[in-house]
Amino acid sequence: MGRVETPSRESLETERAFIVQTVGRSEAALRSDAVSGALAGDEWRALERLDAIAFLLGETDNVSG
Amino acid sequence: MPQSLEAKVVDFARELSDTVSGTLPGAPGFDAEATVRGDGYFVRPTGDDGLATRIPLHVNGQRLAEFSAQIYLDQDSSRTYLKNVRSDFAAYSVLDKQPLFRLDYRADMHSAPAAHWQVHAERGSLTHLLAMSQAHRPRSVSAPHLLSRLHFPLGGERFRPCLEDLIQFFIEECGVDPVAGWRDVVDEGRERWRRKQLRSAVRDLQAEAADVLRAEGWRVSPPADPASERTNSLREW
Repeated sequence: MGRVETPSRESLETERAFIVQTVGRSEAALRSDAVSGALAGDEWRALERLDAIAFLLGETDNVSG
Repeated sequence: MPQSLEAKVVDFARELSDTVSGTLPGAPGFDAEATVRGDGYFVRPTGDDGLATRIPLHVNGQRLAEFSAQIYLDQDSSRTYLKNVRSDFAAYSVLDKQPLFRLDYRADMHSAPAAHWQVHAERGSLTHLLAMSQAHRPRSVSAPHLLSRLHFPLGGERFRPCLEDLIQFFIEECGVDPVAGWRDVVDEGRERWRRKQLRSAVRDLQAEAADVLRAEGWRVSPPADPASERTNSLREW
């Protein structure tokens, strides 16, 4: 506990691609479904991680609200 | 020598770990990931596999829900301190894995309250009211019939609830199992939080703070170049 990791840009982008592939639709579609309350259970966890990845990559606009 | 930002993050993650392990049974510790530019940190609980995880919520020893706690930190304008720019706290059901309620904070939120509850439940009468009242502006409100799309305001950046408030809510209002001695951990953490928030409010409104201290008998004199008031945190919802 209390560790700080510094993931690389490449590893974050790879992780994001894997998540998008797993949920089976684009990140934009996933975010749109979140707004309309249409996410399946595990997709909430995927969205949480995509938000974190966007922040870690410096894409501050690309987060859910 | 001033503490590095990374050292501050480590301290913060350990403080969070102590809070949850001292209140909720089986809670994992917190770790952080740094942004690729090294100017921000994402802080979250870590499972045994080293990946981000959620905190289990038990009732009579049975895991009935999960607590997701994620905190985003960024450098402040002085590049000396870390500022909490976003926190996502949510309870999820283990049955359907859907959120039950969320306590979110976004420093840059303007359209909705910066700190807000979202409740993932439905009530027919409120759904009816929302659908009728939002019908005239369909493009500005998405899914107007959903109660979960309402953002209940919570006092803005300075006066919002803290993690300890939510933990006490889980234990006292929802009947979640606590760790023995949890109340002292919550009370001490809440006091730390409110003292920090008070100090931030004083930095925002220094003349206001000085007036109060003078009225209480303190002798307070302004610096040569006093900071101008920052009232955004008071004016925004």
